[in-house]
Amino acid sequence: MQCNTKQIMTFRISELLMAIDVVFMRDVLGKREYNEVPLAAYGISGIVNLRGNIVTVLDIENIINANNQPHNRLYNIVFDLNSELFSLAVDEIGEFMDIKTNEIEPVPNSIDPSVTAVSSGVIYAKEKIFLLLDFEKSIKLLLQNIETGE
Amino acid sequence: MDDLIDEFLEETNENLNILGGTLLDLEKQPNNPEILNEVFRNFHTIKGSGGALGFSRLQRLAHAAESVLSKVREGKLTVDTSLVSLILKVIDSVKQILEYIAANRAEPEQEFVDLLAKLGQYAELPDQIAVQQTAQTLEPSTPKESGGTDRSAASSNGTNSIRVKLSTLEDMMNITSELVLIRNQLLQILKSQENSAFACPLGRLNKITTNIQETIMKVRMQPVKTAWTKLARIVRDLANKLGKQIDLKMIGEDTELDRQVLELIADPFVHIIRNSIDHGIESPDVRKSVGKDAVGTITLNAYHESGHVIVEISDDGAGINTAKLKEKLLTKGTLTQKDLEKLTDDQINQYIFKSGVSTAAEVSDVSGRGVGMDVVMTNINKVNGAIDLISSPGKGSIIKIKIPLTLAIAPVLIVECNNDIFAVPQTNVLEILFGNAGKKHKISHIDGAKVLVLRGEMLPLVSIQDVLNLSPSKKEGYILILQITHSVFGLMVDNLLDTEEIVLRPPGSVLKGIKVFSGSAILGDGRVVMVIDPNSIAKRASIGDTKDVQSVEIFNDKKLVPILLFKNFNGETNAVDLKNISRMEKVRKSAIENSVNGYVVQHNNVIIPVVFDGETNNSFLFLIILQKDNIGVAFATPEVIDIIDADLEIQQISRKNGYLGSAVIDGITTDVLDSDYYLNIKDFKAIPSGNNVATRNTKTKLKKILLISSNNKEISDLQEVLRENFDMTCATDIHEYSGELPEVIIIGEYINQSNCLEVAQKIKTGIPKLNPVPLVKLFLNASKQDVALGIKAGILRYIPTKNKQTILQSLINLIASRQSPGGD
Repeated sequence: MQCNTKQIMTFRISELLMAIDVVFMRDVLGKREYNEVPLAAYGISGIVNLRGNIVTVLDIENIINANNQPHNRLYNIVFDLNSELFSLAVDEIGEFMDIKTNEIEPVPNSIDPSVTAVSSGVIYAKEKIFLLLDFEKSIKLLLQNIETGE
Repeated sequence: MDDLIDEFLEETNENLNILGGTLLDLEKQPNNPEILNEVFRNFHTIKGSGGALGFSRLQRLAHAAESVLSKVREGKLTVDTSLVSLILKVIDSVKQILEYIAANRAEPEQEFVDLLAKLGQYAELPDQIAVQQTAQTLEPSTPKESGGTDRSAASSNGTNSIRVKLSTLEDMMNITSELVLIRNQLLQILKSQENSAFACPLGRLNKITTNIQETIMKVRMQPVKTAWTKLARIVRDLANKLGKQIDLKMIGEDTELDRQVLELIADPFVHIIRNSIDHGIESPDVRKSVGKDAVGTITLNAYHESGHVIVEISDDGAGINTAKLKEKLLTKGTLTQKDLEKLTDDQINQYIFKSGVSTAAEVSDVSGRGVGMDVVMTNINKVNGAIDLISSPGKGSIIKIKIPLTLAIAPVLIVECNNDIFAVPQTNVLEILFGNAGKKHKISHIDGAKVLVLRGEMLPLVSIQDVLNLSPSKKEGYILILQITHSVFGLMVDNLLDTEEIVLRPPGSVLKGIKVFSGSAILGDGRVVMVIDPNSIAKRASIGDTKDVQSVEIFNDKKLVPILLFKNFNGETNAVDLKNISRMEKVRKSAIENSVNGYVVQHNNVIIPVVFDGETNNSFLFLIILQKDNIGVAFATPEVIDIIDADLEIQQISRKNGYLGSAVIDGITTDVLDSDYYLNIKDFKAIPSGNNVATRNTKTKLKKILLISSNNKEISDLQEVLRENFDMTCATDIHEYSGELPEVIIIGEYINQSNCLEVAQKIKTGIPKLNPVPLVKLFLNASKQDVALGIKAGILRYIPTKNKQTILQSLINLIASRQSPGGD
């Protein structure tokens, strides 16, 4: 069996413990003032200027719950998806870890399907379970919010 | 290898484009050795590089063309139209091969046998014959002045330019704007510090940054020539095809435009030129007969004017055939005869830019579908340009296109709403007003929508909060008057902050769905802002298609008509054209009676339906009695204001039944009543109040009704009343009837209860096709019990016979209500 390793970074959004593959990551930044975008889909908190780039700020919790709840999150994880920059608002930054790809387990059935819709698996590490965030799936779910939102 | 092919494709395509233009120059100056050499060199390059990459067909084609050209160089062949056409065909085929290579990374299987054979013929032609042949055709190709004579000289000097990837250029743009932002921040900091040691170097940084920015912008610029070169070819081919002689002149071809803009307006040029050739320039015979030079001229002229580039495309052809255009507009139903009378020829000519309009008698593969000019308009709008058309019949037409230098930097107005900021493109802003209502302009409400009356003109008004679903603001801020493609509207904002030049960025992938923003931008102080697209705002606020309104606004001759001004029950001023009013009466409120069919009033022993739309405490009301032919309807109003002569120009078409729309009368927005609507009401339920009645005279085919009766007096009485409106047939029993399906079956007054129930029963069980037909019973006296039984048996309505008019009215209403969906 193939045993590739992956580096992930963990973080927390409200009560959700999550992790992302660091290959997508570009930056971790402190809190930013962002501009809200009216009529935007649920989960889009606004846009922000990051060193001359206009970056769309996403809130995973709002994507999952399909609402526009304002949250006061302290950090921004900037990631690159198909050469477009996004920023993910998170409450707490965890740590970097090396994991083996065969340690990634499928998301248990008992979890809310909306949560499953943004993740590609779970990882058990340091006596905690982290949900591995899948950006592409998250954007897909977000765009669904647009279609049903209008 | 792939890189090599890509490079080869790019280079060869560019060469071919230049070659096309050079060939046309050669046609005009067949004896110019420099031009000939350049054509030759170009083919040689294609042959060489094609061969090096192993594209043998390409090599063979280029070689064959080269052989023919070398004959010309040796003086054994002379350049003529057919030779140029042949070489042009070679270019087309080479382009075809290149396209194939681009897609498939290999040459196509196709062998260009015909073309090669023809080229071979030329190359092997005995010298004398070739000379003879060309001698015959020499005359039409006499040298003519050309705008591109110095091209060969310029390009033979060798190139001092390099090829840069577009993405690299875009990156440079972005990095530069980042640099500009940092500079702005530094300057901001510097302002707060006195006698800083950084002041001097920062000043220099400031200057250099500006320089870099300007240089980068320059890199994006391309001469308009790049979009024009292909036009020469189009003119030549089309003119030959249509048997016309056309000379294309280019002036100011080095005028530079942003390449993004240029890309968008390249197509419009093609469409306009095609139109000029097909419709504008006449055939040589016609031209001679009207005393013009047989050779028509199309002139392209580009020049700078106040921050814009103006491109003029003029021809000396016949101009636009306005009469034909009018005819076309009429048959298409775009305009009515009345509209046409009110428009000047110039105004009518502008309609060629509308979709589906073409003056061409028949559709050809050149033009005539009426799509081209629509594309022109769309693309010009995309670059925020403007287009103007001047046509003088018999002398030609000029199309003037005004294009901004660049799309990359746009001046915007920064506006504030609920502490959010947005940018509005300044190109759309016509003027800015203070928002305090009731000062110089007035905000009124029509149909629940806000309307601004500005200098006698009515403009739809939108609040930015409403459009963007923001929480409403209490501020009386400013109103921006915005010009969009087909109309003008007002946008209410809280506050104006600043004007700024921004670099518009396309919206992020997840924000693209929000149509009201055209993108985002970073302001000088580092803030980001969404840029509003006024056209989409209008669409979202469903100001939408105000084309009709606009065409009304063009009309200048004001016709004054006498109108009656009155108040409706909501206190709003309404108007109605006096010509439809037969009289007015003041009545006690109690005189308006409530009948089964709504409000009625007795007038000279005739019952007239009343439109009584609202509540009032007044004991007296005014009735405006509208009358036409024998139909009358009264309109109740609490207050009559005045009768005045006014211009009943409807500026806002109403979406509500019963109103023509709104007009500005004496500076007040006034809803104008549609008296015809009330006089022609089919279904009284459709009257807004829902409580009104009106008579209707069906002029069309009379509705069939069936009367079941054996009483001759009753039959003749009813016949008299109903004759006008219905085609009545009589039968003594339902079984006797075998004609077409009636609209209503009436059971006569003298059919007693048991017989009546029997008829209903028979229809219900025995004659299924009559089942859906409403059944009514006429009665003079009927007990509640009888009625209840009858209705249970399937009788829809009991109509009293006291008043014959009531019978008529009831029947009309019954039929009308059944015809309207959801009725009864």
